[in-house]
Amino acid sequence: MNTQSNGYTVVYSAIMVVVVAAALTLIAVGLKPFQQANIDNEKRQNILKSAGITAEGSIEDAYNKYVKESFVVDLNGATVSGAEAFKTDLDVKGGKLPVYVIDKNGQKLYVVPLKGNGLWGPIWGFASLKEDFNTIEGVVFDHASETPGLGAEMTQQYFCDQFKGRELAEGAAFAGIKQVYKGNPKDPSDDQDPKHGIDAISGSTMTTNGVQAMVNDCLKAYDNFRAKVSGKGGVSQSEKKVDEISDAPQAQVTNVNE
Amino acid sequence: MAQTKNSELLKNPLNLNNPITVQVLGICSALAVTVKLEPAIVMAISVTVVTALANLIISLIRNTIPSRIRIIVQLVVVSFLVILVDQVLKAFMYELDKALSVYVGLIITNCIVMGRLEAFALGNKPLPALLDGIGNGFGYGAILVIVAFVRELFGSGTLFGCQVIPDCFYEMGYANCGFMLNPPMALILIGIVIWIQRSKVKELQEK
Repeated sequence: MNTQSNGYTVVYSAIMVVVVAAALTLIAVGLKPFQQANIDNEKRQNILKSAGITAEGSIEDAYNKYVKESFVVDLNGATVSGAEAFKTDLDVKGGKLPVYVIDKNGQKLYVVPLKGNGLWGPIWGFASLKEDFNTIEGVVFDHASETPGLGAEMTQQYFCDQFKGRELAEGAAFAGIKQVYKGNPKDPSDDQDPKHGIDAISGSTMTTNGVQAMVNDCLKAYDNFRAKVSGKGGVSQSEKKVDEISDAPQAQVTNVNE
Repeated sequence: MAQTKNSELLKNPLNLNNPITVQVLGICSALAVTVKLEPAIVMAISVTVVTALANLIISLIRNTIPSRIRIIVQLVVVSFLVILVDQVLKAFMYELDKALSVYVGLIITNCIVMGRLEAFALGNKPLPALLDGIGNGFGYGAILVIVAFVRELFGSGTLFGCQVIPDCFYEMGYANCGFMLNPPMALILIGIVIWIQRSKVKELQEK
């Protein structure tokens, strides 16, 4: 057979593409359950990590041990019936807000997911809050494509540790976290804003802005739930439109380095 | 070339015809994944699997490939295998897959794979082609492991993530060499490996 003819070349490539596509589809479908299990386990691990729990042995066992209940609330802080928190993606505008309640050796913690945008792509994480749903107990962050050495530092322990003990509310109203630029996180006496301030990552202004907007937007969406839990504050949804929730202080910063 | 002994097909790439130190192919991934031993070994295994299977498949179908689209056919076969490796890693070695990140995908563009397909698999029978692929994968892997060993030992003081440099060294003022963790140091180390190899092996010395 003449393997150089046009007809042969066209038929050859067509068959090749179909065979390879079919094989890849089979493989992808076959391995999907295993991959999903890995992704779910990473999520469980991050939920526990944000609460300061390091799982030893099976992550699933540890998750089942510590997470006492999980539910989804809407923007008014009311529980959405029939929704499973673990399978619900955080949707700030649509009012689907998962909450995980953790019992860490007698201490009650709320863990909520965070979702936002960094400089190059999506960023996400989890925040754990103390029983008053006001004081941050811990956070974990992850990112898809922030700059290594700059924005990617957001996943580092030293950066996440700064959020510990920061508070969401000022009086009854939501205040959120705020970047400080001349702080020194290693020197506790130089803590310029012990209630809300975090030290930005030098050279990663855009990523840090994204982190700030993510934490504030997502936690603000839970404001009515916080009001219910703590018994003060909160904004009724009739007074405040949902759109304003994403109205975070994103464009105030001037020293753009990255 | 067609009559080279099978054992030499396996041995040559380890020394005389090493893909990294002699042919200087596949340097980019060698710089990127050699900070720690574990990802380096997984990368070496992945590349070996891909070169071996790609060589085998291309050699099996070598007489049917229209020469005008042979590069495309090679790319399709290589991409297929790389996606396969990536999916398997995602399913069974999730943490390592995250550590290797884009470099698994970049095996597609690894010059070693394409180079062996063009130079060897298209003109040889399946068995020699398979051995050539395995040999080149090992040759690549050997350099990766040497570089990763040095970088992890001196850069982090660990091997396979376990601390091997005792604490008393640190108390006496020893410090890990942070520069070892940066890609330029991998390039320098590969340069040193090439230097040592050329000074030992006469056949490689230029006049």
